[in-house]
Parts: sequence; structure tokens; C-alpha cells
Amino acid sequence: MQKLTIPLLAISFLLAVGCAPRPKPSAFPQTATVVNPYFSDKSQDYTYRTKIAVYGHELNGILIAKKISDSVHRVVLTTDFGNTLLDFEIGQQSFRKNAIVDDLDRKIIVNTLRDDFRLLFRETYAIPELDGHTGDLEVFAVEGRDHYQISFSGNKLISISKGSRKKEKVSVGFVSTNDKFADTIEIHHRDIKLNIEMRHFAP
Amino acid sequence: MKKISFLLLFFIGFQTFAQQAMSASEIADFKKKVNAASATIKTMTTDFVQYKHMDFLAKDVETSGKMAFKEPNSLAWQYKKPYNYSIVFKSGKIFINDEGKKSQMDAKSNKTFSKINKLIVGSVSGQMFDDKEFAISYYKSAGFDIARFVPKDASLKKYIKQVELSFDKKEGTVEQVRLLESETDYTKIVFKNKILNAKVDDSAFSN
Repeated sequence: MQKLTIPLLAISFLLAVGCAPRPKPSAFPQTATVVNPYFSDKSQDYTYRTKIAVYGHELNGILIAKKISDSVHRVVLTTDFGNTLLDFEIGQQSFRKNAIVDDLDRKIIVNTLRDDFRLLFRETYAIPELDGHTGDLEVFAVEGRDHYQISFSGNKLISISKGSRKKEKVSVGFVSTNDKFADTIEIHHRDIKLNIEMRHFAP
Repeated sequence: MKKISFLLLFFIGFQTFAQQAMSASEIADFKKKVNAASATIKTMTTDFVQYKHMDFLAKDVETSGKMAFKEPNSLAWQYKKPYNYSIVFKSGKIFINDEGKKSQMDAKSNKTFSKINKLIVGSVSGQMFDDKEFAISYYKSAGFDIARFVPKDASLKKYIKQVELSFDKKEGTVEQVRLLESETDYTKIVFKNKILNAKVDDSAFSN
């Protein structure tokens, strides 16, 4: 009897585990959150020497970003002389154009930069549970048609890319020697010739 | 906190109050002094610190470097901290060296840029009181004689609301430049260690 009991117990245990409903990412509430910490401190002025390359044209200047409320970042791009080229207030759901020079005031430029900055400043993504995984990691978040791929190396966020189910449209790469801000940031577009390079400086 | 804000308000109020409009005779004297000083300026080298002030920031964005000017209109701005970037205005051209990457453009082809160029050269040399592009008003404070330039041209006005030059009361040379973009936001450039009429090599204007 005992001989039979042990395998039976083992089988029923396995069955019980095997049959336990596994959460499907799409059908169950998502349980983990990953965080982009690099623009999240309200007391910080984030300052970057920035180069925007678009269809063979290059624009250099200083990008200043600051989290001004729980949901809004203000971002200002100036020339090296300090003249403001653009001044936006950007939330994931909100957008305000405080100022922009005529040369840049085209709908496609404004909308593309707005979306790039949204991706840059966004702090949290809900993802399926990670089972306590740490270290190098790639996770995926799906929101409607938007697919995000978020990569970590040694627990540090190193890239976020956004696209459709089939292809990536834009990626943001971070290099950070601390966990507070990124030392360098590169934004690359796959569908249009637009790249943004940012290098942190402490003024 | 209340005390501090009150003090600040008082200070700001005092500052504003302390800038008095010049009388007609004071304006004439001031112009004479500045024109006399700028007539003697053949070259100028100076260190500068640039402060970009925006009300929403905790600190001004500070950059610094060296500036060289040589008659009639060669001008070199060289940012050294926190990054290397230089821009030279020479014979109607603009030469840029951005951390080793060089480029150039024609200043004349860009009307706004050439107006800004004229403004920068003018503000450094002090020769801009006859400029028809600006409405000019004159003030004095305890430390400086001040000239305010408001662009008349609509396209220039979009970029620069007002330029304020602060002159040394004795020497009649520019000590500070403040470019106002709005009521609260401005770029201030403060000159330090100014040297007038020393020999400035042409290499200062090649980057």
C-alpha cells in the first residue's frame, strides 16, 4: 500500500501543480512593474549636450529636462548661446507647446519629438511577473498596438524600444554609471532618418 | 521661508527701483563716453561666464570660455566648460568647431543669423546706438550704466525680446549682456579679465 501511496501522492502533487492555472499575460492583471529612473527626480535639472540629426541636417544645442509634477516633464532645447529653440511640457496623456522657433514648427517634427520625449521620460511599464529574476533581462509590455521591449543589464536599464508587433520603430539606448541619470542617451528611428544623441553634463 | 520671500521681493523691488531712467543730458554723456571708448578698441580678449536662467530650473545652466574680438568684425566665442565648442564670425562667414567636428556657413545667407551676428559684435564693441533695428532706452544703477535694446523686426523679436547691456561706469565698456526671452527667462553673459588692445593673433579666429 505504501508503495502505491508515494507515487500516487507524487503524481497528484505534480498534477495539482501542473493543472494550476498559469497566468496568461493578456488575460490576467499584470503583476510586475519595471521602472525608468533616469528622469524621475523632481529636484534634478537634467542637462544634456544634444545633437539632432535629421535627413542630413544637424542641430546642436543644450537639452534641459525637469520633472515638474507627478505626470509632466518640461523639456527645453536651446542653442549653445542660450536661445530657446523649443519648450514643451509633456505628460503621457498631455502636451503643451510653450515655444518653438519657426524653422522647427512643423507638425511632423513636433509630433515626432513629442513622442520621443514621451518614451524618454516614461517611468513605468506593467509587465508579466518576473519570478524574482534579476540581472540581464529583456521584458515585453503590450499596450494596444504598441509593443515595448525593455532591456536591463546587471539590473540597469539599457534600452527601451517601441514598435508594432512586427517591427521596431524607435529605440532609446541608455548608458549610466550611476542609477540616477543616464550619462549618454541615443534615440534611433528605424522608419525615418532621425537620430538624437545626448551627453550629460553638470553645469 | 516667508522671511526669505519677503527679502527676495524686497531685493527684486529694490533692484528694479534702483534702475533709473537716464535724463536726456545723461544719455548724451553716456553715448559720448561709450563711443569714445569703443573708438579706441582695436582688440579685446576676455573670459566669460554664461548663465541660462529659466524660472522652472533649480540652478542656472552655466557654461564658460573665452572671447576674442578684433576690428572690424572678427569675433570668436570659445566655450571650454563643460564642453568644447567654438564659433567664429569672420568676413561674413561663420565657422563652427564642435568638439573637433568642423563646419561653416554663410552668415549673409541667413538674415536672422546676420542680424544676431551684428548684435553680438555690436554689443561687444559697444557700437550699436545708431542701429535702426532696435528701440533703445537708457538707465543707470549703482554699479552700471544700462542700455536696453528692443528689436523692431518681428522675425528677430521672436528670438530676442530684449537685449540689455551693462557698461562699466568709468571705462564705458560692456561688462554684462542679458538677452531676455520672456519676463522670467534670460541668458546672461558676464565678462571677466578683460584685456583691451593687446595684440591678438589671427589664429585666435581660426578654429
